[in-house]
Amino acid sequence: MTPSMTPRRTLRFLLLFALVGLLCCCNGCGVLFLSAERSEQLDDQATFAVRAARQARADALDADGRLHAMDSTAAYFADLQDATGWFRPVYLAPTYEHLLQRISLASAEALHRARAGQLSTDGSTAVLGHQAMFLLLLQDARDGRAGTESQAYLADLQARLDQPPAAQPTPAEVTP
Amino acid sequence: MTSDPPPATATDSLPPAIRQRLDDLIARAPAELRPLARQYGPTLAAWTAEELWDWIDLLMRGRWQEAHETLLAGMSEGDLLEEFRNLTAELAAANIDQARKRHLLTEAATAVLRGVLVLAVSLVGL
Repeated sequence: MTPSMTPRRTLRFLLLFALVGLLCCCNGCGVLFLSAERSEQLDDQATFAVRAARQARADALDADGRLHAMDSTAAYFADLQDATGWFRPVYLAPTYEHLLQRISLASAEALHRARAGQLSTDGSTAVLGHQAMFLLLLQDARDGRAGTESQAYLADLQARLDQPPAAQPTPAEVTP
Repeated sequence: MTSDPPPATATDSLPPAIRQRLDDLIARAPAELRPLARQYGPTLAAWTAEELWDWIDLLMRGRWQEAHETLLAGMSEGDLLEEFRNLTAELAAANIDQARKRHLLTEAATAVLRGVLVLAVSLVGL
């Protein structure tokens, strides 16, 4: 500490830094907080799910491929739900936490039916599409993005799924 | 997804008398509960009295997750897909709502903090 830096002045500087920090936090905080590793997993899972949904829509995914894609995404939702809470790598605002619980349960039920052969091809295509949309919407929640019109926003997400498939997803591609 | 013809829902498989009664009940439900009644009513109406009591018992014990699993398991494929559609719409709406709140909060907090920052800078003597 230099002779000119009195304890009072040091305290004022600390206060200044704390305020600047608070300012940055207010600009950066969101309803969905993920650690860097979890954030990367979300991106990987979303890429995988969108590819799988596109291929399912193009009838380029067989029953095993559909089951694998559905299983992988359902496991991801369950894992994300388990990791949620204060002081954990995932924080979700209560509304999102409740929605994630319902998404997780619906995905588990769809997977259960698919495994038992009780889900039609059209049904599994629709489930894969919705699962991909959930992940795209969770990415948007993480990044604080939202559309101005709900229907237009959903149509935009749908259009992203409607693009032709890029490459065949492989089981090893994603490890939630 | 949305362009595909909707699969059969639980309402379609109900006898006309029960369907009529269900429509009446939904119409008499409070306005804020009507969407929920419309969403889950057909599944519940297709259950036997015993199944319904078991489900109510789960709710009364606070085992809502099991109750929700039972509800989903009792849904027809069409109703399960409707649940997925609702979840997608709710998540999109939550994003729009949260983004709006976040924008307002950021604006308010930034304005307050800027004022305090100016005060702190003058206190430090910069």
